Amino acid sequence: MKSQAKAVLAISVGIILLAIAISTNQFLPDLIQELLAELTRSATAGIPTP
Amino acid sequence: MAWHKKPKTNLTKLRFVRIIVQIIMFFLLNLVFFEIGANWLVLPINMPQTIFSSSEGSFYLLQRMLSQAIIPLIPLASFLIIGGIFGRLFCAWACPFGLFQDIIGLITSWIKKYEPTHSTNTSMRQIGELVTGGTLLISTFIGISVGLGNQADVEAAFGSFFEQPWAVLSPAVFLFTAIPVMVYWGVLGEFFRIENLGSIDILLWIRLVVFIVAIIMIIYIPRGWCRWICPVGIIMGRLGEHSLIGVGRNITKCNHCGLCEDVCPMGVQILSHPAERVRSVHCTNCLDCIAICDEDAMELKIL
Repeated sequence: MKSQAKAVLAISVGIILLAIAISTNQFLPDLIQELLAELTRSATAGIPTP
Repeated sequence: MAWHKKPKTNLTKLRFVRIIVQIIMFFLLNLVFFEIGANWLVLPINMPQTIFSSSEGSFYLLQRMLSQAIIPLIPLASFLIIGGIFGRLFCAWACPFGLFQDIIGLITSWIKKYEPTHSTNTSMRQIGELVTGGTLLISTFIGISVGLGNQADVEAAFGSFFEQPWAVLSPAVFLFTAIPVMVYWGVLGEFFRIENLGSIDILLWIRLVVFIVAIIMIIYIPRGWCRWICPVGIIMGRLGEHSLIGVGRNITKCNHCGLCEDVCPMGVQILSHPAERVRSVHCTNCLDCIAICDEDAMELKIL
């Protein structure tokens, strides 16, 4: 498959995923903001709490 | 190599403009700090969530969503759409850890850089591919287990690695999240008290060692982390090979002087690629090769 065709395929799949995300209310900001309400335990791993 | 004055000036100007754009992007991603408001950009860059940001890079969000058994549609879409159109352009122009690497490179420009061979580049990148693949595999396993209702068990088994396995080891997370958090919580001083050293968590020591190794790597190899290890770069590189926008060479103007290869911060062997497009997993579309070309042979191409 030609490179351009692969790029168009990737972009098309991306747009479809974005459309599904919008239609299932996964689109920003609601769910993402809820997810990002706190820093993860992974990001603060090993840091002593005050 | 005899560099003509005009192209060298062009290169300096371009690199200056790029650093300004990177700084603007960094502040855009941390708008909360300025109380301007939240941003909801999910970009394929090595930017973790910080205490000042309301978003994070696609790879971090992807892991976080998987750990909560949510299909990561937004991060995947961001990888595919942006990667398919621009390739690794955001690595050069928007990534905060890329900016950090460029600044380290500038500060240590007096140190002789190591020029890895093509085979070293390839083998080291395979390590990055293993790290990326392993991280995605672990996150997918966690996502499936959580989806099947085993969250407590998986959380207990993976501990700090549960939500974002890569974030524990990433030097970008250490720099942009862990250090500011330690300052914010007032615990950074613990590092500087000898009597406290023994009580510091082993995980924090490991994170510190990875961070120092990354800095040493960046000092001796321009954009070393970016070209070999960064999972975002690994994913975007694969897409960048086929992206719609990228640099190419005008074969009628090119005199094969090799200046483009000399200035490429990612060590891409431009002349060994087909003239119509440089399809390299390493090319970040930084445009240095276009700026330095004396013959105007390098150009930005679409399709």
